[in-house]
Formats: sequence, C-alpha cells, structure tokens
Amino acid sequence: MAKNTKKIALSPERYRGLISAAIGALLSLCLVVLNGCGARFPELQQLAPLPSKPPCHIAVLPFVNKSKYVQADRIVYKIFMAELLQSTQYRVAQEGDVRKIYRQLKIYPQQTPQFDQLKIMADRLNTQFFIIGTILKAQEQTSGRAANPQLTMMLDLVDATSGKTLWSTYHTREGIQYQKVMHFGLVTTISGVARRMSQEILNLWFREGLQPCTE
Amino acid sequence: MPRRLLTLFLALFFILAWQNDTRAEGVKIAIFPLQDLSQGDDGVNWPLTDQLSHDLAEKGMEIVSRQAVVSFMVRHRIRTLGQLEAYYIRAAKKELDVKLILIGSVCQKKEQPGPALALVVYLLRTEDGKTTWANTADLCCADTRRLLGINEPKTIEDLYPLLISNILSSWPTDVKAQAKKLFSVDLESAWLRPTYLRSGHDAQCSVHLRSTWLPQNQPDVVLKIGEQLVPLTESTGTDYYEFSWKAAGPDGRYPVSLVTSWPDGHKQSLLLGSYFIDNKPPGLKLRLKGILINDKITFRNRLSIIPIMTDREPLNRWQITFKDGKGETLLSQDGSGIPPERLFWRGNAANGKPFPDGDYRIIMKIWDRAGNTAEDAQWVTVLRTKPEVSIKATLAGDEVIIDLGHTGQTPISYWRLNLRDKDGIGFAFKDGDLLPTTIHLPLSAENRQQKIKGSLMVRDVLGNQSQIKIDDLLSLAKQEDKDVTTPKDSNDAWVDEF
Repeated sequence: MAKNTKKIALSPERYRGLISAAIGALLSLCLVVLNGCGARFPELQQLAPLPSKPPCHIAVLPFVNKSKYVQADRIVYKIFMAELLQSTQYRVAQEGDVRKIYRQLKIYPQQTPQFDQLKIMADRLNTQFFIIGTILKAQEQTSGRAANPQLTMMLDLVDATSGKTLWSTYHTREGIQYQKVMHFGLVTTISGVARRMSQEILNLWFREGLQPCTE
Repeated sequence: MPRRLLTLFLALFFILAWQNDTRAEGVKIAIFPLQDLSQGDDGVNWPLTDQLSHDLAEKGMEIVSRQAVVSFMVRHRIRTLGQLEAYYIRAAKKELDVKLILIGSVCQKKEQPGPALALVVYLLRTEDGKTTWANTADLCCADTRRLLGINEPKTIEDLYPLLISNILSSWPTDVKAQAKKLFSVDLESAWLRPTYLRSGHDAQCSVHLRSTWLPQNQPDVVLKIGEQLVPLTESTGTDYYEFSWKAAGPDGRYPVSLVTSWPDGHKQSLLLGSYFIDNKPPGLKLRLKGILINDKITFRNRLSIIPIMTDREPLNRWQITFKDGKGETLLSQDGSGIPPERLFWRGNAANGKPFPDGDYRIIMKIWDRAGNTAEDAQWVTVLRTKPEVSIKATLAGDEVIIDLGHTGQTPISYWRLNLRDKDGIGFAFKDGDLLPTTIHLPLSAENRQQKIKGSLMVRDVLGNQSQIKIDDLLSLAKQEDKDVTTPKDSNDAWVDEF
C-alpha cells in the first residue's frame, strides 16, 4: 500500500521569499562574524565634567613612548594631530611652538610637564585643553607576507587652567581587527592603525560630549 | 533640442566653475621638505616632496621654488622638519611672500614584508599661523591590487603618486580664506631666577623677544610681578629685557608675566613663570640610637643617627659635623637634597682611626630651597673601655665559692664562666647577665688533687668584652685575700663561643 504522503508545492513568490530570507540570514551571520573581530572600542574614564563652554584652543603635547618601537610617539602624535585638525575647527597649537616651550622650560622629550609648567604652557600657547598621550605598546608582528601592527595608547584630556585630568582614554587595537573579507580592510602599518584609532577616540569624545569650537 | 543645449550649457558652466574654484589660482604656497621619520628625526624625503609640488602645481597652486625654501631654512637655521614655530610661519609670509605653507612627515616607509608608506601633511596659513587643513594617508601594495595584476605597484616608488593623490583628495577648495590679524610677541627665551627665595633677596628676570614689528609699532613691555607693574627697557638693539628686584611680601607664590601693549591699544600677557617667597625654616630633630648610660647616649662601635624632618619640605642640601668636647671640628660630611633616612657612625675619623673615649657633639644642619636653615645637635659618648671584673675563690668544706664582681660604670649584659679539669673535661659551666654574683661549686676529692683551668668572659651592654684566664682555680682559692681582676692586656681574642 502506497504511503499517503502530502507534497507541499511552493509557489514562485514563496520560493523567492525563502531564498531572500536565507541570503539575508547568511549576510547577517557574516556581518556578525566579521564585526566580531573588529568590535573594539576605546575605554573612556570621565574623571571630571568638561567646562560648559566649548573649547577652541587645544595643544597636543609630545607623546611619551613606553614601547620598544622607535619613533612610535612621533608617528602617533603627528597622525593624531592631523585627525584632530581634520575633524574639528579647533585651533591646535603648532608642534614647533610646543617643542620650543619644552626647550625653554627644560622639559625632556619623554617627560610629562609638572603642574607649574603646564600653567606656563597654557598661558603662552593660549590653550584651554591639553591632550597628553602615552604609547604603551607598539609593535609590528610579521607572519608570512603580512604584518600585523599592534598599538596601545592612552590619551588624557587635561584642563589647562586647573591642570586636572578630565578624561582619560585607553585604546588598544591590532591591524587584523580591521580586516573585512580576504585582505580587504587589513591594516599593515602602525600609521594605519594609529589613524583609525585616532578617529575612533575622537568619535567617542564627540559622542560623549566634547563640543566643537563655535567661535 | 533647445532644452538639450541648455542642459549642456549649464553642465559646462558648472564644470568650469568647479575647476576654477579648486584650482585656487594665484595662491602662493611654500612646500617645506617632508620629514622622513623612517630615517630618524633628521631624515628628509625629496622624491615625495617633489611629487607633492608637482601635484599641487597641477591643481593650480603657485609653488615657491625649492631653492628659495631651502635658503629660507638656512637663513633661519631651521633644522627640524615636519614642524614650524609660529615665528617662522610669519617670517615665511614676509620673506617668501606666501599665503600658505605645507609641511609634513613620512611616518613610515618600509619594504618588508610588503612595500608600505604613510604620510601626514599640514597646511598652515601664514596670516595667523593656523593649521587650516591636515590629512594623513597610508598605503601598501596589497591595498592596490588590480584585476589581473596589470600596472600593479610593486615598489615603494610606485606608491608615491598614489599616496599623494590619496592625500590631496580632500584638498580644500577655499584656500584663500583670510584670517583675522593677530597680534603677538615671539618669546625666544625667558628665565626667572631663583624660583625659591627669602624676603629681601634679589630676584632676576631676563626676556629675549624676537622683534616682528616695525619701529613705529614698538610695543611697551611691562613686567607684572604679582600685582605690581614694572616697565622694562630694552638693552639697546638687542631685544633683551632684564630686570632685578628685591623680593618682598608674605610667603607664597608670585606669578611673573610679560605684558605688551601695542600702539593701537591691543594688550597681550604671557606668563613667564613664578617664584616662591619662603621665610619659614624647615623643622629638624636629630635622634640618636645609642644606649643611655648616666643620661648620656653612649656607644662603642656603631651609632644610628636619624634626622627627623618635623615639617617636611624639599631641601637643597644638608651637612653633618662631629665636634669634640672643646668644640673643634673632627669630621664633616654633606650632601644635596634631603639627608638619608639613617646615618651610621662608627666613632672613627675620616681616615678610619677610632676617636678616643669621650664626649662628642653631633650637629646636623639643613638648607631648604629658599636658603632657610635648621640645625639640631646632640651630645654622644664614645666608650670602648672593657668591663672591669674581679674573681675571688674560697674553699669551704666540699665546695669552692666563687665571687664574681664588677667595678665599672657600664652595666653588664652577659658573663660566662667555663671551667675544665686537667683532661679538658668540663668541670663547671655557668653564665648569667648580672654581676656581682656568687657561685657554689661542689668539689670532689679527685678534683682537689688536680688543676682546674678555665676562663671568665664578661660583656657589657655596649659590647665591650673582657676575658680572664684562670690557670688554677684551687690555688686561687688558697690565696683567699687575692682577687684576680681584668688584666690590662686582655683582648677580644676568640674563645670558644656559645
């Protein structure tokens, strides 16, 4: 006796709908998997509230290099400064002027200025905020034909008048975390990682309430 | 047809208008050599600088020649690339007649594991010294893969035009923007000394300004010390301003600023630094860790000297002096900063020779950063005399009574009597920490027939030690009225230790 089976016939519309749903689910899965590698956000500690008036004058002090990567402080400093200038209308003190005051006050390159020195710098550079950075780790690991740069940095936003650290940001990233599909998105240089990390930090700062200059 | 023509005309108009805007004709720009960080701080990258000049010239910018830029740098002794001081930006405006300056750094340039380049550039406006645009780009050969690999860049040099094209992709269209005229003085150097001083002492300030003004626009330069204003006069034609004054006022911080007033009424104030008036002497107490004998701190070979800062503050220097009873300095030592937490003195002179027994005065003096001093002194006694002990033995029936006595001033901390028979077998062993004392030792018939030898060791609380040798205890007992006292030549020779 033949088994009484019921065959479900799919209409072309329903068939297309199922295919679309399957493709959508697959794409969502891919997105989740790929973003899972790259979802690393800077950690921001808000130690004190920002002044209500938006700042216009900012000075980025030479970064301190605690890593073994020679020039990491200079590379990240220059890239962060460029990103800061790109994303805002702040008047950022010239690196040359900052380094000149470092020489005048006898502050060594890998030193962070003391409170009194910060006050003098704030006055001479006419700045409202200082950004003080430290490179904690920088290295380029080479495996096969690609390099995987790793960078860890800390950026402090310091009130120039009081010398208080208002915000402190810690961020760590690897070049491989930016990889999308195949080699696309893969970052192979410290500079590339520094650029993307600087953008991520600045985006976070603006999202958390750092206002652009309105003058 | 007319509608199509109108559309074409409008499209052409917009294209021309856009081109005109982006080409920014007539804007003169100085491109400074690009710093190459891959070659160290002093590295320079001419090929990328030339590529940048070429691409900007194509955008319609008027480029200042390389020779003019280099001679400007030589003239101003600009040794570091990738950065400029505001003073040089203004000087470039005047001397090179440029509205814009482009500076930049090659952050990375590497061949392995694949060619890669990174560049950062800043566009500076000479009118006010502001960075009006900046961009950064990084590129490696893997980023430029093409279908079938045709014309794919393979070397660093192949990446140059692509990188420059990337970095100039966001080149600002409105590069002619005029800035608000800013007044400022360029402070070449400034020093203020001393930072810490007492009232009535001289403070001095020296300022070197770079004159960027015309003689008719010479500003008035005033020094603001606390709330007091002092006009400064320039040492003829040198741009140097100097002033010295007597510091006065209560303890505290006094900021010193340079105030420049321009003929049009504009004022600028620059903080030069601060000085601190400090008239309060530091607090010091000297604590000596010795043994208190007859109300005097006494030691034999090691004294701990602990300087205690009762009012802690940074110090400039310290000095410790040792004087004898007559006030004559025997030894002195000094150092910078705060004194060590603990000093040790062995009672020796600088040449290692021990000082004789007696009283000595230890004086410590400290100076704070303003020159205020504090001093404390203590008397100390050096005592290296060995304990004076006596031993007396008496025969009484079947025992011998031994009296141990002590005649010195220093208390005893330990004594030990060790007696042996002629074969070296232990006869008696006694010890204690108090003198005088009496010891009763039973005496057998056999013991009476032989010599009982031994020794008595006595140590005082300072560590001085005496050793008495006993050749024959019984013969000592027979001479009842005779004491054996510490021999003059007793020494610290090693004996069987406990």
